[in-house]
Amino acid sequence: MEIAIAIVLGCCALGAGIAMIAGIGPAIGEGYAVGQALTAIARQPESKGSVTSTMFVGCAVAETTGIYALVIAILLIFVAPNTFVGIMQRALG
Amino acid sequence: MLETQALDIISVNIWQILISLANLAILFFILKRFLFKPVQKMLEARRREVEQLYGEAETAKEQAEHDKSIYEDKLAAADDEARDVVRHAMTKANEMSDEILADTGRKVSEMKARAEADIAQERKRAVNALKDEVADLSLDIAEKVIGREIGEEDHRALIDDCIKDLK
Amino acid sequence: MNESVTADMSTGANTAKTEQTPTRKRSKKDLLIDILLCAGMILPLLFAIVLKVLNRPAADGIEITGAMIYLTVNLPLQPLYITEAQVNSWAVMATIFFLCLFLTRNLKVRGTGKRQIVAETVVKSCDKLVRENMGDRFASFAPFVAAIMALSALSSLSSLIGLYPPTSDINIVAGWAILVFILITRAKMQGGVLNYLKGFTQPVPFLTPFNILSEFATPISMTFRHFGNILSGVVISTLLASALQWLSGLVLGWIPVFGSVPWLQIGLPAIFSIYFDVLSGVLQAFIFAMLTMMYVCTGFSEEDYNARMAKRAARRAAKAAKAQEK
Repeated sequence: MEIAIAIVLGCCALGAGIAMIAGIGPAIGEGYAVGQALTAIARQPESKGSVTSTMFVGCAVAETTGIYALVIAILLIFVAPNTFVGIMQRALG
Repeated sequence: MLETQALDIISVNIWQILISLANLAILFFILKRFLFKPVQKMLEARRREVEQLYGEAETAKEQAEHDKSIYEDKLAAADDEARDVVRHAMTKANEMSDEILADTGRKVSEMKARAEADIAQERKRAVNALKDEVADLSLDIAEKVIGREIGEEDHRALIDDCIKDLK
Repeated sequence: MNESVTADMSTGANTAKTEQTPTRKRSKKDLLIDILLCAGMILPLLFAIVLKVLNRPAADGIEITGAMIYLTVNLPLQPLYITEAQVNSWAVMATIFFLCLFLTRNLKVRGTGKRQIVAETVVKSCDKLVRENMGDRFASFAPFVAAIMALSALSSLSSLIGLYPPTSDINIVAGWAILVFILITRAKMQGGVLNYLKGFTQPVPFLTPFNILSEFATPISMTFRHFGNILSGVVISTLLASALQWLSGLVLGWIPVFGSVPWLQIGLPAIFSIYFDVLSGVLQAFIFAMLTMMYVCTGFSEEDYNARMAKRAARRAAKAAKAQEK
């Protein structure tokens, strides 16, 4: 029983860690977007306000998949152990 | 201090979803009735008042333009009238001066003609007087030459012959 | 609430009549009602804070859990919990309601008080935003967009006061997203139910399940985007606070009296909370509203709408002509 609980907890922690590898995607994408925004501002300095606000909106939408990964990781760390251990106890114990 | 249970950090509860849905709908109606309706009504009233003010200003401007055109017409008519009067007076003055000139000319020519007639008459009288004088003088001379007295009818016939030749 | 509103309107008329001088003489009744409304704005939040303080959580120390449950009602499908998040959400709604009443007191056509300028700015900028992004035919969406932005932003900002932010509870955000999904579907059904169902089979009938899936992915993604950002902010702030408390206990624990107070916890979480609470909360509220506008507007494009209205008008004209013939 203890080994089973240990395996479940360990796999939850491992899954949370692997899930956060998805944090690379939004970082690369948003960095590229900010670079393009800087190029646009350098080309036409008076469009700074409009370019900046559009860039923020685009970054927030592009961050969605990173947030999905974060939510899964938080679920795995805080919610999953109790649920899984409860299921196991009802099934085995 | 009460001890209370807590939910899990992510847990789905259908009733909470429905309550939250109702919350948003209620807030939508609250905002629409208490914020958007009064402010939009006030903005509409303001827009209508501005339009009405602009309309009044437009009609006043049109009226002013209309009045101005009428006054300009009147001024122009007065100008024309004045000019007409002056022209009329001038033509009349010219006519009168022409008349006077013609009158004077006529009078002058009349006087001239009369003077000439007078002169002719005087000339004829003078010639006649001269004729008589000459007749007398020649009679005297002839008396002296001939040495005798010439009778009245004789010398009358002689003198007439001479004057006929003279003429 | 109705009688107080009408009382406001009548006193507004009275003070409008007596105002002849540029400086306004505030009557006592006016001041009293202003104070009442300001109190009405602050009291619900105070009440929520008091409720939170009174209910100490079951576990000691700083823990990452969901909202506290104040009340449980047993209903068929699932028990109905009145949680801290719901109470905070109601408190924010009451605050917004009293703020509306406060802003629209004594609206004058020619007056320019500070309050009136704020109210006009809010309404006009909301109207302009909705008209720019959605076109003129959806101009009646302005109160809804304003409601979403106000509720979302103020809910996220209420974590600065110490309340549990309602938007870090997935049920609340899911409720909003489902309402938005209903609106999007209703906007798409303007073309008729058959056209809506046919739209799933385009461009290739093979893609129908994926189209249906992406249709449902819209509210789910909106929920997770908003809720995930706020939740991550709360989690990181809590972890940071607990780590600082542990660090302070480690470093200063040996000082007799001052040691038990976590000194290192002051200041540093506030700097992070500027990003996580203020910037992230307001930005996510704005993006939620923008996405609502985008989805509702592009659900049924302008030319299709005009073509359908024209077709309907032509059909009605033909029917009228035929009825006149008979």
